[in-house]
Amino acid sequence: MFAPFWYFLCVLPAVFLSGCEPSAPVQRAQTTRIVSLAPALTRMLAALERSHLVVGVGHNDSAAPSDARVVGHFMDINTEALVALAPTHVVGMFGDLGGDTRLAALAVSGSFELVSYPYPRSATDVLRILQAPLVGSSVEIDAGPTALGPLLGLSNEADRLVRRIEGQLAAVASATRGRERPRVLMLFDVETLMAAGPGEVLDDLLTHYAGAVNATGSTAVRAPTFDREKLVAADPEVILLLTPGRLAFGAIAEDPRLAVLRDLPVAAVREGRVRQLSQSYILLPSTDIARIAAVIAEAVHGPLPAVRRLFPSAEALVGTLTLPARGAP
Amino acid sequence: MTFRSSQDAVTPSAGHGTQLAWSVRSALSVIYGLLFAVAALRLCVGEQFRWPEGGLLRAVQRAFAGWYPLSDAVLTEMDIRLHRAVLATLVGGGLATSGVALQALLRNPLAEPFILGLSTGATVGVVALQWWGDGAAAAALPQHGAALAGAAACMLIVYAASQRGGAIDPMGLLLVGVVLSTIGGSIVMLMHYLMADGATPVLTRWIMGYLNEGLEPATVWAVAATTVSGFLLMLAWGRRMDIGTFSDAEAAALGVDLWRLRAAEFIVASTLAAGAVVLSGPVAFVGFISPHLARLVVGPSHRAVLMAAAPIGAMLILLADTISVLIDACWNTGRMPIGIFTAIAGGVLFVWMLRRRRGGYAMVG
Repeated sequence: MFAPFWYFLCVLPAVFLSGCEPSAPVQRAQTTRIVSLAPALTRMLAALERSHLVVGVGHNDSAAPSDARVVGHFMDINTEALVALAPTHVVGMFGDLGGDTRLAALAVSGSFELVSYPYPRSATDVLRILQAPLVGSSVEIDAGPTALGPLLGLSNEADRLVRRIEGQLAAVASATRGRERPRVLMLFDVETLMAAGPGEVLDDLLTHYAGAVNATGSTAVRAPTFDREKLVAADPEVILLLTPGRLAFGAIAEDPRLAVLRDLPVAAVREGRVRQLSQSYILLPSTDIARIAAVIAEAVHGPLPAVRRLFPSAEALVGTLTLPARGAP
Repeated sequence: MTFRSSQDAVTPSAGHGTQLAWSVRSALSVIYGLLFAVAALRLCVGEQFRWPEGGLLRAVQRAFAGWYPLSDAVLTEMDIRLHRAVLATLVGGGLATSGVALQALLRNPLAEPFILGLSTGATVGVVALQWWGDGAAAAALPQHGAALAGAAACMLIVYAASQRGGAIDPMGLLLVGVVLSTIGGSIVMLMHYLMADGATPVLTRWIMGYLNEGLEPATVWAVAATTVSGFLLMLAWGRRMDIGTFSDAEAAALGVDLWRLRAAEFIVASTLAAGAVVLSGPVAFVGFISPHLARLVVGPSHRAVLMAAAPIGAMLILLADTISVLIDACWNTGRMPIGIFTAIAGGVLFVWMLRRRRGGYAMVG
């Protein structure tokens, strides 16, 4: 009958000790050691040629160095594994969710510097994460050292990278300027017809650089769901299926995954302008945004020589597949 | 109009004959009339409120010729809306029939496919198939089979784990169902976690309950055939279901093979819940609300309850889909999941009934 009392006595010291400060502060590493909790940021670090500084990454990070330790999902971080890596910087894109409170507490205790970037809504926002002193951003990043370049003492490198991406974006915009602007619907999948709506980087790339109009129109949510009737009402002239890493779809009439599009009275289906974009970077708001804009521009307008000159390597724009209504007889 | 006692809710009086009473037939006429009205309303609701273009007869002909591939003509507005209305009717009717069968099988008026984990089990089956097959396995029947395997496995576990001294413990049944539903949800989350990041938002939305217009015609036909067959089987065995609510000895004395009856109820409940999941993902509480609303109107006879619950379930899904379209038309939100509306309405009713009838759900038999 006294068992609960003994349990209580055993647990009591642990309860008190849990509220105490650690007896010895975590030693900060001398060299820069970065944990990146967003694949987009890992790609930025790779573009800045600092992949070797990345010691930890989040789940499903395609740009992670092979020796980087996975420290959980960005919404569920393994704090113990992260601290064991003794990072000097932890960077993430926590967006509207806000940062992880445990990480914030560790950062306050001096374990590392935590830099939380809002999720970008435009190409300008992406570049601003790299190098702050850009104007016209909707992301409220304090000027100065919080942007990734200055944070790592790489202002010049980041500046050069930003100028290069800006130049590529301007070239893509120039290549599509004056062309007819078709209505384009960008779907994340065909199982549930969830589309990229206004207020997304993809919408910005489509409308401001790739020379097209987003067929979702103005919506109350950033990723509206369509049914077939709504799809018919929107009548997109081009449908882009953004499916990074997925297996290639077949002809619409034959691939069971595309049954939802069959015989729809939609210009894109009728005219064979349904395209699958399976490039691994297609959904990442990072240093590939100009390449994403180029891929979208070519998927919408067909081959653009000016864009091809920007990305001369043979595999640069590979990954776009046109899905015919019916397969070859 | 008042609720009958909880005992009556699952145990009809023995005085019912094989013919339905005039009042019941009148009530059923009203319910089926309402179903047609709600279906017509759904056909009219879209970006604009009007009768859809394309012709109803032609749409029906096209449906029977195969939904998509057998005609070169493009789909009309009527084709699309009728297809969606048929999906809604199959989901609602299937879930309601499954709910009636479960409540009779388990002698528990709180039983329904979602609460007992059948829908979650079927979801585990479908998601696992997509996880392994990169969506290509969505071809046709395998998806239905995977959903059925998941639902049946859950049902078997619930049935076995809630036995106490050879009888089903009603509270234990609910608890096991809830726990199993949670475990199933965790398995789905695990697969969700292991999937590529790009697939997860889509899966998240599917789990909310959407009418799936992207299924192959063969899948829709398979679900339709099993749903209608299950409904007709239960209808034919309605009288046995009435007797099945008596004690085992009484039922045996009246010539009902309880083992066969329960096996049929088990198979029908699992199959119909699995079919509904294939067509719409997990949709909560329709299998619970519909039988209770039916009993309010037509009394406790299982034949009458089945005949009323199926159209009521269909109406609930049709109305949820109509509301989703109307909200989108008014506020440009995109199509919201029907599962949200059924869960809110059904959850409130479930809690209200639990409180109103607390202590009244004693085991029968």
